[in-house]
Amino acid sequence: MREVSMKKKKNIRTIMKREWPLHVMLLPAVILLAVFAYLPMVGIVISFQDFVPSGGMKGFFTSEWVGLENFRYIFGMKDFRQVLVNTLVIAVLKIVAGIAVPLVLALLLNEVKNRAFKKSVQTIVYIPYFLSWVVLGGILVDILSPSNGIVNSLITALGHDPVYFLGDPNTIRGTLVVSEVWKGCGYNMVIFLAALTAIDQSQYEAAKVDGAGYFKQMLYITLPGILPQIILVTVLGLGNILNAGFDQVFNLYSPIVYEKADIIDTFVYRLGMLNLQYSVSTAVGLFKSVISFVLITISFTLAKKFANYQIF
Amino acid sequence: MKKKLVLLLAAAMLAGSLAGCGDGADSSEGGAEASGGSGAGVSEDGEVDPRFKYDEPVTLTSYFEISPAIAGDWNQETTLNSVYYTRMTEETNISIDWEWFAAQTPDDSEQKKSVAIASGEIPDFMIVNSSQLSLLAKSDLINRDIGKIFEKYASEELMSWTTGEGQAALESASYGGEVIAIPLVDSSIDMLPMMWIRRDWIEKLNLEMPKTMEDLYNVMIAFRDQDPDGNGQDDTIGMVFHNLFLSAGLGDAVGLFNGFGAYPTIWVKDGEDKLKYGSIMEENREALDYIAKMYQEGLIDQDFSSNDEVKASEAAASGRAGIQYGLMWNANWPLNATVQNDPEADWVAIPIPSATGSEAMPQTSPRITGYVVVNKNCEHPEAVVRLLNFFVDKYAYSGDEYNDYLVEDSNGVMTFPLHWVMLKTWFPLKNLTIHQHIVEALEKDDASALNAEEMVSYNDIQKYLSGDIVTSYGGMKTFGNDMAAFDTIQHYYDNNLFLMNEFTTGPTPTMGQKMSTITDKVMEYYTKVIMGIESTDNFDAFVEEVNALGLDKITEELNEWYANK
Amino acid sequence: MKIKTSPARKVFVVINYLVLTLVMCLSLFPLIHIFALSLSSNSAAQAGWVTVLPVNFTLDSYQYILQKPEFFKSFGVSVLRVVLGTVISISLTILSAYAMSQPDERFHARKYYVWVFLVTMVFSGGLIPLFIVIKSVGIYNSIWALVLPGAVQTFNVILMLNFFRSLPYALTESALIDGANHFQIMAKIVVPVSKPSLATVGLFTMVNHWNSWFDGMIYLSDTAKYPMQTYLQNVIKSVDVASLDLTSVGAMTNVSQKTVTAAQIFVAIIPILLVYPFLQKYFISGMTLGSVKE
Repeated sequence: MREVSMKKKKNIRTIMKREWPLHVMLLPAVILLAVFAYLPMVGIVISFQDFVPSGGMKGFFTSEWVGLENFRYIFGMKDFRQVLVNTLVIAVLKIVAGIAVPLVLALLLNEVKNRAFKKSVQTIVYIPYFLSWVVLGGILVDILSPSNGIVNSLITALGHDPVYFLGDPNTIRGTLVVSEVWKGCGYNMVIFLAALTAIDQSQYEAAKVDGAGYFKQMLYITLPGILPQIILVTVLGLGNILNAGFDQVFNLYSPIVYEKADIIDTFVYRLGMLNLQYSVSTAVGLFKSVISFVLITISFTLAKKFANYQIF
Repeated sequence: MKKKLVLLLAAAMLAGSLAGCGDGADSSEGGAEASGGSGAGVSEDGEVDPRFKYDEPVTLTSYFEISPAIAGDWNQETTLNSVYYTRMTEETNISIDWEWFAAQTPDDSEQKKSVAIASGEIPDFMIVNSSQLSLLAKSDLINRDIGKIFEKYASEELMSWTTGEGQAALESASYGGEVIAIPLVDSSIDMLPMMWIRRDWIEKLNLEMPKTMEDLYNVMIAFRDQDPDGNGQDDTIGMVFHNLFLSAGLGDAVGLFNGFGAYPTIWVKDGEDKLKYGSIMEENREALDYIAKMYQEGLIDQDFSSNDEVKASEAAASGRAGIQYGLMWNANWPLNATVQNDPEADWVAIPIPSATGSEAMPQTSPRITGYVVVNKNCEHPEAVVRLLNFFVDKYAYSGDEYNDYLVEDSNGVMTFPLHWVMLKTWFPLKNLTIHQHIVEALEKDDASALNAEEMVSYNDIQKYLSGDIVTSYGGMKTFGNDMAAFDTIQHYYDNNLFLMNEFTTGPTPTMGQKMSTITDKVMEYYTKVIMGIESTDNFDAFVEEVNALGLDKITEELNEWYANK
Repeated sequence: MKIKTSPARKVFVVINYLVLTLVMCLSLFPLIHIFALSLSSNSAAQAGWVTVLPVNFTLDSYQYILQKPEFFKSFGVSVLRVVLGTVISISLTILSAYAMSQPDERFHARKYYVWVFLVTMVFSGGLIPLFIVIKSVGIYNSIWALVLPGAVQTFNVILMLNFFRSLPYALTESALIDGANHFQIMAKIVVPVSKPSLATVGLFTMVNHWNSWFDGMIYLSDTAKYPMQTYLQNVIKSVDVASLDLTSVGAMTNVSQKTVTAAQIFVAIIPILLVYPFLQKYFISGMTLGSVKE
């Protein structure tokens, strides 16, 4: 017994001796997280309270406890189930498209030999990311207008009826997903492009010698080479499963498409909650966090188990 | 030492008969005041002097909100060193320590104020909106005696402005029977919907100004089909219309509903001394059918449900539309853009057309621009009232002194710097009076009777009449004598043609929780009907649905209040 | 270096160029539109006549913003914020990611730290408590309020540690056996070969700092300290029609200038267009890790 614990102690000492620099490296980050992430989490208590402000943090302790009342209130809303479905559908579509399109673009770009062209495409694809949804929303309303938008001019020129992309429940989700990709695909493309640089060029040389065509090279060398990044981006995207993009939806939807496009954040916003009903909005936030946390943890485990890939 | 004395005095006063507000300085200038038992500006015999001056300088903290109208070239130094602020301190011994200066937008100042309230650190006084007020009402952060203090210290003029449209403003600031904030009022008749229409188009197509909804329909058809802009293209529509059509502003439909005797979004009497919600009135059916027909026939933009006010107003600016419902300021913006693109454009204002056989009654609500709340730890709550008195005095009753305060605005016109003043309120008939005086002066061709403020508008109109129609468009079309906005408001006012919102109290309990869901449902149903996805055949089912969402409970609560009113 | 190309390959190359050119046009459209707006007359903009070419060409809006000291001041704040924020954030990310990229047998406490980071990625106390903390720490109304609270981004740490992990194990193992400590290995071996990942995470951090506006509104009380996007947010969304009255509407024509807004949005993008190509060379394949390894 004694020997064992002695050994353990010694073990800890040698471990500490070897590993202390790693702890030191993490120290500044952990301090910042403690102050700016963990300390404010005290505020989560107000999801179980009827929050009434009172001098600084004091309000978190003096407000009346109401148990699960805030959760009951929001889940009891008649339209909440539909809103939850909308959120999930839109978010999943966005995650899928938001990975597939940048991936395809990165692969296509990888085949381009002209460096100037390649650089231009990369830079330009990233541009819409810098415009806020207020600005882009206005532009989209213009170009998608059924009466005088460019897109519908094309559609009618081809002999079809104009489509009211933003005002038709059947097209709104698609429009949201496509426009999200349009704005954001430069972001993930960068991750994939950076990953592409890490692939050993000699593999391609070897493949060429073996007579593999471009397509086979892509299939057997390029894709497997960046698979970790694909998994990574997918898993991290899952964390956003209940964030279907407030700014975007808010700027593009209208009552006519609520049934298909109203998401949790816009729904809560219209209830007047983001404004001042802090207890309910914190409760909704907590609900979203718990779901994300569960999903991320599960996907980390799955990635480890089935792809033998440790994400974190 | 001094501080201690002040506190003692305050304690003495609390013990006395006054409202429980701590009040530091006793104004003993000239030795007229008794040494104890009276607050600032209170003389021996208990008379209150609303124009008192503190003996010791008093500093209040607050927030400065920069109106979007001046954001372009606002300067902090110029504002704080202006005659208004220096004289305010000279005459009252009160100065304001602004904790921040931020743009008056939902994102900036409103957020900052909400966060300040939620984190429980508010300045000596601040101006809040109604939802911020209801949060504060639950908290222990504010002075709940401000209503009594206001009553005591408000000058006669300030009080008459605040109650110019009855007790509604003060009632809306009361929670649990106490007035816990000072309402800053604006004019409700200035918010009456009217119709703006292109007179040049009417004349060109040999039409008459529409008086009935049927007239209106025919005029819209003519505007759509008969190429009023004469460009040979089929590019015109009947009316400006947007997705927030139930909020009065520009290009909304409030006036249209009123034309059918429907009063969406406000609370009206149901004929038996009970209140009901206007959005579920039977009359809305007809109005909705009318708009649905407009949509179907292309009289309004097919994508209106994606367009907000500003976007929709492009139709007017570009000369695609010649009719819009709106408010009295529309010619100042955005209709003035039309004339920049087409010098012929001649927008005029007319009373809203009616479908009922008699003249239509437009709707309006008591207009409150904000509520002043005072921190419970503020030692001088009455100072806030003193500053409001100062504003009213200088803005409306200062005679020639008025000219001292004028500053040049971004259009080069000398005006009273209203946007530099946070504590300001309004007299309901102010703009209408200006209009009356100007019309008189124009008729007599004699401006000598006009006061300094009226002169500003009068000169603007003179500029218009001498040919400068682009820059002075708004002035003429608002205050002028040729089918101007206030001609219409005068007409409403003279004939008592307006229906007031009967809802004049703080939100009822269920309202706070459910009302936004209900207004949401209303917008969804209305929009769907207009776009032909829903039908008014299901109006009863719709009414049932919103009642089930809590409207019946709210109606009950409101009627309880109304009965005891 | 001639490589034989099959006809199918040629077709692919042509289509590829076409597709990418189309994508480029789609991405460029909003910017061109904004640029055209900024060069048009305000009445034309208000009438909705501008698409990709200026209508009634004028440089008024650029002249107008050139006179606006606030705009340039906020531009300066943004630059400072980006530099400070990126340097701090990248340093913390490298340090954390390096430590966390160690296999469990080299870093026994690793799994505890994983949770410490992971929780912060999904849970947050919300706006109000963070505001209170920022006030009580004493960084309210200073640039630190924009830089410190979000300095550690778990997302970026994960991204970077995955890049670090993809480095050959042997690279660091031999150095450890040779007695080098972790700081030396990180600075001398790992960081130099990780330029693509540093550039990626650096870019994300810069972009986030450049784009964010909300924190500026909340944590700064002094408008003179606003970064550009915070300043722009007020310019873009300044009209609340419901609250307009005669006293504010008079000046509306001057404020609601779509053209001036467009000019400011356009100028705000320029720095990105300048910085991006500079970082870009690290994403272009060809400069592989393999070649650096030697």
